[in-house]
Amino acid sequence: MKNDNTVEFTYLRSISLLTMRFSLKGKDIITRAPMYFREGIAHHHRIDFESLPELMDGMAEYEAIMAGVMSGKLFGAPCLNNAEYVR
Amino acid sequence: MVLRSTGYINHEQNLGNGLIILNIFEPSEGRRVMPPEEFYALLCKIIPGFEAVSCFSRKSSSSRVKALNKNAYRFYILTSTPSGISDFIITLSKKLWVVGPEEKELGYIDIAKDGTYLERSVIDSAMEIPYQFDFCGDPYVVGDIEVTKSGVIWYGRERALDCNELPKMTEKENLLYKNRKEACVNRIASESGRISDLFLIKKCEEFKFVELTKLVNSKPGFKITDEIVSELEEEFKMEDHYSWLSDDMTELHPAFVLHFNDGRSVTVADVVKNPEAFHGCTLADPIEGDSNSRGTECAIFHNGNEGLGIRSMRIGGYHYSLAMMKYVDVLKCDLEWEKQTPHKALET
Repeated sequence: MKNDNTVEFTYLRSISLLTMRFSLKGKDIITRAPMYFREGIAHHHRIDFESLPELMDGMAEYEAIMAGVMSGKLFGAPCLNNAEYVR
Repeated sequence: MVLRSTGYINHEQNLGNGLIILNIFEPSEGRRVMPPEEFYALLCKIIPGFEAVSCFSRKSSSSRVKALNKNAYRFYILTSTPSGISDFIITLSKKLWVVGPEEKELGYIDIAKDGTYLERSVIDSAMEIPYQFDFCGDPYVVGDIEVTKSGVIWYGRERALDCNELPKMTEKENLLYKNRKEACVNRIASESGRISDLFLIKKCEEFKFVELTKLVNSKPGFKITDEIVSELEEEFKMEDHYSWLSDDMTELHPAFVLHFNDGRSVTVADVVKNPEAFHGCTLADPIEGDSNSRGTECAIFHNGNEGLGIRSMRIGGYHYSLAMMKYVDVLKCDLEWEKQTPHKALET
């Protein structure tokens, strides 16, 4: 058991918008689901768990995290969807 | 370079502390979202000593859009055993089916728009996938839409959770889980059948419309007759009958109509004929979306090894494959093969 309070995960910055988009049509809010992820840059993050909410609050619409981590603790590695790689 | 797959991004190679992300999503109509404080109390009941575990909850992106009045959220837990995260989420999802009285329904079965059953619980079990995205950023809004703060609530702050602290499902719990699922399916079986029939009728109508439009556009003066319409209905029934489903993948038959974002409505057979014309294009989810909700969650891609497919955000990630041949063509091939090699056909 690790006795520190740090947490490790993968942080990704996509080249395209990832989050849901909300716009107005008259009085109604139209929701558009996240776009298909194609390509981005993945970073291995190790931060204090207490500071995770602050990091999340500062994230933009083209950023996301993944709970899994990359082998060899890569920093700034190009990240592709499987399908894009096969193509 | 890394790929978004478990070969590159996983929990096993994390030698430090890991992050459990629980997605408490907006359930179908008539069900409420369990408030985060209540969910935390439930975790404390299921996992002995959970009170001291470092964790917090935070509103989901859509819940931060005030006018939508949604209450979905994420629950983040620090864990000292990242390799146990997937098992933890799957086991917790099952535990929620058996932890309370049946009427509270922390586990339940939803009906998809094609009438198939979707196993659900308070949490989204798709988050067990290590490369599943968690979009933490501010919701992207256009126009005068009020966005609220992320609403972080801290609970314990003392230590990381060992995933093994969640007790395994006992034999008794497994039996109860199975019985409750069966009871749930039995309760909604007739409704599922009704929805399935309606879905087939809708898809058949779409198929007829697409095929007739093609005929009218390609042959000047073409007249639609009852005979042509009933031939198309027969073709749809034959193709649909031979499509197949599995829990995590559906094969879409050649007569299945897809609705692309750019306005094209085409059959699977049309896409198979010219896949490059559709590669990377977004479209409505083949089952959950329809022609009025184009752009919901999908993309089609070209894969040399596995044929053509559509990856969707449905149920946290879903894959559709496309049938490469019409059933009538498969039959023709079989007949041709039997003619050429009659002795082999007899042996089989």
